[in-house]
Amino acid sequence: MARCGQSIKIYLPGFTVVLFVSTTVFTALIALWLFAFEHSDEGFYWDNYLFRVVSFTFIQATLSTFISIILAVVLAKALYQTQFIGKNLLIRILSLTVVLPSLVVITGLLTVYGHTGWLAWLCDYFSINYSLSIYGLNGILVAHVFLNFPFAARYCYQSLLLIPNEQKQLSQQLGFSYLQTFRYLEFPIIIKQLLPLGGLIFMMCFSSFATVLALSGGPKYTTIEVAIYQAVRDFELQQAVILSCIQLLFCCGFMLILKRLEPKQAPQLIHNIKPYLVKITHRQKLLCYIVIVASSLFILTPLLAVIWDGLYYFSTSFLTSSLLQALLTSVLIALCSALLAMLQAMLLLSTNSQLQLRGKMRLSESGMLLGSLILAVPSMVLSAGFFILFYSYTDSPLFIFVLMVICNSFLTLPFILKQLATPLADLTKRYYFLSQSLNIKGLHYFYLVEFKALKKLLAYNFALACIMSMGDFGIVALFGGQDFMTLPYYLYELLSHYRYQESAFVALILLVISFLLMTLFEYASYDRT
Amino acid sequence: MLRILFTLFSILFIVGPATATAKDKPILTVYTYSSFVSEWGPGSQIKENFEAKCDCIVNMVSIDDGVMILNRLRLEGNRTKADVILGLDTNLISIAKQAKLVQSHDIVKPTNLAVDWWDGQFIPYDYSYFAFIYNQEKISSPPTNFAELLDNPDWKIVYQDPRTSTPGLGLLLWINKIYGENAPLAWKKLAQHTVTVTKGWSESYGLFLKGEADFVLSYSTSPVVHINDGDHRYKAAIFSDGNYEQIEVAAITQYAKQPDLAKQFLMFLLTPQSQQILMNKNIMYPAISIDLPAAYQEINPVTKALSFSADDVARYQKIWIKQWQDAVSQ
Repeated sequence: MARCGQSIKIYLPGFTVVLFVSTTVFTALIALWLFAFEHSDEGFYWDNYLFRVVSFTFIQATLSTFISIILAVVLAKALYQTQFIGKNLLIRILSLTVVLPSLVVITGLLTVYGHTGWLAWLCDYFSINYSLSIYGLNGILVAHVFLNFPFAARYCYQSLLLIPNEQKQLSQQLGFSYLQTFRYLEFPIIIKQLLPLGGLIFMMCFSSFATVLALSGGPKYTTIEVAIYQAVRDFELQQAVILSCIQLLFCCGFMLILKRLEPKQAPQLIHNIKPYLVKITHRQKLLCYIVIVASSLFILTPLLAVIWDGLYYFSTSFLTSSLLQALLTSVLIALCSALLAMLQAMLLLSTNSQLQLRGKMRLSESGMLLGSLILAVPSMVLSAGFFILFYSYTDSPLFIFVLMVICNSFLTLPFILKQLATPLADLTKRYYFLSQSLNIKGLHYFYLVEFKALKKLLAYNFALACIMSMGDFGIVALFGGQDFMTLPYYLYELLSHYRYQESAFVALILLVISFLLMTLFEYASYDRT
Repeated sequence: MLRILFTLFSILFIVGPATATAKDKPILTVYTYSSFVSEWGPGSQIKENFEAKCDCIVNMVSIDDGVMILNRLRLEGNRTKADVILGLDTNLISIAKQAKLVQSHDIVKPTNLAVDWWDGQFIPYDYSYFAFIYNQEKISSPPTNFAELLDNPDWKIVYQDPRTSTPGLGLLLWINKIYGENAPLAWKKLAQHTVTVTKGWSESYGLFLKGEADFVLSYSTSPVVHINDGDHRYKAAIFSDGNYEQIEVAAITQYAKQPDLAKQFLMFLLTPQSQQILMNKNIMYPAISIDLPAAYQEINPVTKALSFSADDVARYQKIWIKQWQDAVSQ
């Protein structure tokens, strides 16, 4: 009886969250499907074109993912081996690109790499023939790498910091070569953390849409998400549902494959008080700096372009009450979504850690997969599904607000899960039995063990969840968003009224707010003891 | 931190109920696209003016764009709250009629109608033409017909995806109107100097202004905005073989709870007062003959208007999109 009670206690939090996420997603899908059958459409058709779209989407996403991850490892290693002024700032900035609305990303990238961009101008100045085209597969890859690589690099860097100092010192005493250090110390950790992240990046690239379309140079390269969007617009709802199932299948499949690649035995990570800087040769150091400068140029110039545009045209008349209202709404939605996402993540992860402790890997895996489900479902489909379910509440601003918060929290959940899963599981392995014997349980356990140990990581994830929720606005397409004008929405509104200077300013604000949130939560988590 | 959160919450929930409307007046619900109701759109002014006359409350609900308004109506069926839908264009009305989403308006065709289009269920409230916009400082000899645009490989063009945007669909119809069976060939020619195809109008117009393209698909009235800002560089290329016309329309929905108010509202849209607002804020030509402001007189007028019947659009749209996909994907 006691055993049974205990296992319910273990399963309940995670089970609730998984149930919540998957019920919401599947209910929306099923609602849409039922509606589609009832209002008989033409049904599903599969043709050559669709096959091309699916295969291109897959290739593009795979390429983007691998390039992002490889670059991320290189940059993370360079950052980890060096110390320089502005390093903290750079690391903070690394998380920003992942949150920008596609339109801002496109603008920023084009200001730098476009036909009349900074690079073209620079080449012109030195009379070099500028022939790089940002359109086509190049453009898609550049944009996806720009969006995902910095975030992955930061993530990877943080994992490297978790290698116990003693191990690093030992490896130096043993005279490990550069490659040996990588092979035995760093690689296992990177693999453990980056493979699941790769799954996420793959999903993001697989379902990416506006960016791909704008930079693809034409419909030669379109993603399956466009086909889904088109199907919803044409009211071919069956087609939309089936296409999103295909998308779901691909994404889950890829995640599972990556999961299989993960080594079964992985090192445990700990939080070092002060990371030990591994000694490297001057040539290696030089190489590191080259990597850092090159990546910074790649990441920072488009962001600088956004900042420059915003400042260049700035006028105080832009600070309208609607801007402030939009800002307030965005921040509020961001904070609420982040809180909800953190809550869900902690509940799910507490169960997950227990499952891992008991060696129930399959169950733990499927729980985590279900938690990340939403990334693979197009927001148009979700939004249509929700609409069918809740059409009678569309008048209530409070309801739309809650819906937006829930959806955003789902969207950020996979990212939090990926980052916290391993550290939390390791913590559980280390302290669970000790705390059991000391009778430290529940919230007390969370505060004393998990919160104290992972304060920084928790704060970072909270900030990340916040800024990710700020950048998103997909879900309101059908619901009518005038009452809930978020910043990205406001930005689009400005653009549709030819207000380019103001929109540049709003993009800047979005960037600044994201940066401030990141800084704020990092300071808040700073250990003063 | 908690205190800030608390304050934010209280602001949200106090502001929320404060904007709730008085219960005793009838409510007219209008579904429209989001830029219509936005701060710079004509929506709020028209709402205010109509409320002053009708002793009712106008509730404008903003939904992405014309296609999505239609879809929302289809999803809601007879449970819809919408009395009026505003913001479809003539290419969409066939779908709306087939799905029985609207009813007859019984409004007599005004004698001063400027646009050559009238329908028993939809009223036109403004119109414009699709056109390629260029910067006259960069393009010294602009194309005077579609063939010239297609035959100059140096000109880089950006347009919108017909699968995801209304202007994109407009281009699809335009090319099929001019080229008919030869449309795939025209698409192939166009593809040779297409910079890119974007999801919506905003992205492509942004690319154009950044100098990424020489021509962007937009409206013949687009230069008005720049002229109002004191920028006279941008022009619309007017083609001798014609520019495709886009007429924006409004209608009373099938299940309207306030059909009389809805009819009044439609008629109100055609008053000079509303037309003035629409012209200034929606940057489209007025549907009835009224004096055009100076900026409108400066832009190139369209010499030949092209259009398909709504039924033809409904019938061929998918085939043509497929044709376009095949032609430009190779």
